Amino acid sequence: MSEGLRVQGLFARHRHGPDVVRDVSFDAPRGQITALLGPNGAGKSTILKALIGLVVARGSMELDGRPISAMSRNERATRMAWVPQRSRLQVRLTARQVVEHGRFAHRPLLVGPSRADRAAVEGGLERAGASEVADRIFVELSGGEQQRVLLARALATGATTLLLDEPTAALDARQVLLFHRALRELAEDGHCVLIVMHGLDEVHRHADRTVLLRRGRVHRSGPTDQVVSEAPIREVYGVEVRPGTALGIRLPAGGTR
Amino acid sequence: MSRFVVSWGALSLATALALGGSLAIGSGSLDDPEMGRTFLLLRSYRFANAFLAGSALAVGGVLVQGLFRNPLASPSLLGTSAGASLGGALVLLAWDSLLVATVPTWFPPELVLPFGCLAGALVALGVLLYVTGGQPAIVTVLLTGFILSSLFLSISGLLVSLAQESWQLGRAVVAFTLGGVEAKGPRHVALAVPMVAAGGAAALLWGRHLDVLSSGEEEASALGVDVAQVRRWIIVWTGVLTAAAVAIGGNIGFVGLVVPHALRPFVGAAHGRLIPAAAVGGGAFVALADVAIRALPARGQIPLGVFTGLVGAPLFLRLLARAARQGRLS
Repeated sequence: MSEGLRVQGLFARHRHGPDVVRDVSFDAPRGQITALLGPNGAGKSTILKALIGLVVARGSMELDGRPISAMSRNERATRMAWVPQRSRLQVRLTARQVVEHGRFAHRPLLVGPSRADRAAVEGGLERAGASEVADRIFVELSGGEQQRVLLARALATGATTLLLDEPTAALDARQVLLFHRALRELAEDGHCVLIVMHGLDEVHRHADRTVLLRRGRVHRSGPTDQVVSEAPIREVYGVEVRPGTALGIRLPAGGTR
Repeated sequence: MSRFVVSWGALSLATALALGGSLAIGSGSLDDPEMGRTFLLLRSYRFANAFLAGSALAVGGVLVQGLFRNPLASPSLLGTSAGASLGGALVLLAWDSLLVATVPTWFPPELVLPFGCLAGALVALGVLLYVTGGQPAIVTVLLTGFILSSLFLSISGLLVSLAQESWQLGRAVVAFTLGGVEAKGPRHVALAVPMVAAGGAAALLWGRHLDVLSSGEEEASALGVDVAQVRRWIIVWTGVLTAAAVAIGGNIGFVGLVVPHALRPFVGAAHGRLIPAAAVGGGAFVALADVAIRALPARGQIPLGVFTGLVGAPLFLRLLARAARQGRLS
């Protein structure tokens, strides 16, 4: 049995559209961060949506050896959590209330939050570094803070497979590093982390494995060092990779959240 | 003292004021040794009907606002109330021309009225969902609601004209379409209580789904919400609540818009807290409006919807202007 996500021969499309993901296969093992990389329109976000059942998909998708299509809605929601690029929430809920939504699939219809629900919410806030903003109104938070709250919500679901759609797109340099540190800790704890990213530097620095996509198909996949390298990047993006030109930024030693 | 405690104190006070005002104000003196008790009884029914209609409309407003993720939605603005009103008028006509000969004479027509209202409300909501495709774009939803309201009101107008053939029927249809809680008795209360109670309980039950849905359909679905099922049931229960309100009070506008909007800053946006507050706040608002129209010096009875419209329409325009400035109309 393979641990983590295994996708084979995946085709996916939006409800009334053509296939935007075509014959895609890759593995995203537990304990590692796997990046989906590619130009706009490569089908990265659609792959995540196919995994959680938001688009029409065919092909084989397995989580820890079990077909995702055989999972009930609740089982899927408690085993895989999706972190969108940004939330569409408009009403004035506190960050803690948003994180509590992560417990939806765990709570029976007529029952209030249990001790386990509360512990999962607080635990999610803590691990995502969002405890400080828990009682503030979500829509008034900065982009980085909102993203941490959405990560906390994903963690509160209890899911150990995280699907993140460009979570760092609106974050500043420091927030990006903090976010990736949190993801690394989760991966080291055995989470399966599949993350859509745009920046080649970011992928090179933070992802263990990379699936490079082009026009809905896998162009190359494997360890990041081999995929984010001169030839594949030139073929997909039409740009030259110049080794050693990235800024070497990092968090200060003992850097706090 | 928390905002929550203060808001429930204010809601209790408003309800007490509405009850006191409803019992004390009206034509006829309570000191009359023969008629005093009767006046008191009639006024208490009137209060109960006003309160129930307000509760139902406010909770219905919370439900459709949650469903469309849009604070500008309410049963009256979406055409649901007009649909219920048309359904009720159609049932009255059908009763007169078809049913009255086939049912026992003791069977009161009020008993079938809510079913007509419910059918009308559900049709209105169904058409709205079909046309908007369930997408919460504010302009599309409001425009569709406006067109539906106009259509249903036009058909109701036609029915009123047709009903004039029979004086008694014409009077009944006109009285029903104009609305109002005056001259509504214990039968109406007995009819509305189970509908409003069931609708309120169901709203609480589905509130947690609507909370999660506030993040959008995709996020909600990923978190385990069956969005299609939620949509179906919210439509049904909004229909039940609107039908109950229209059957006992007619088309009272803007309650579902004003009450949730006024309460959210105090009790928050989470449905578990908003729905009970809206049930009480909506009831108190309409009951107070009913006291106000009785207290105003006027030769005839001022329709209840006139008062709620005077409060609700400016608020709606303010919300619309704010949404336009924030670019949320497209």
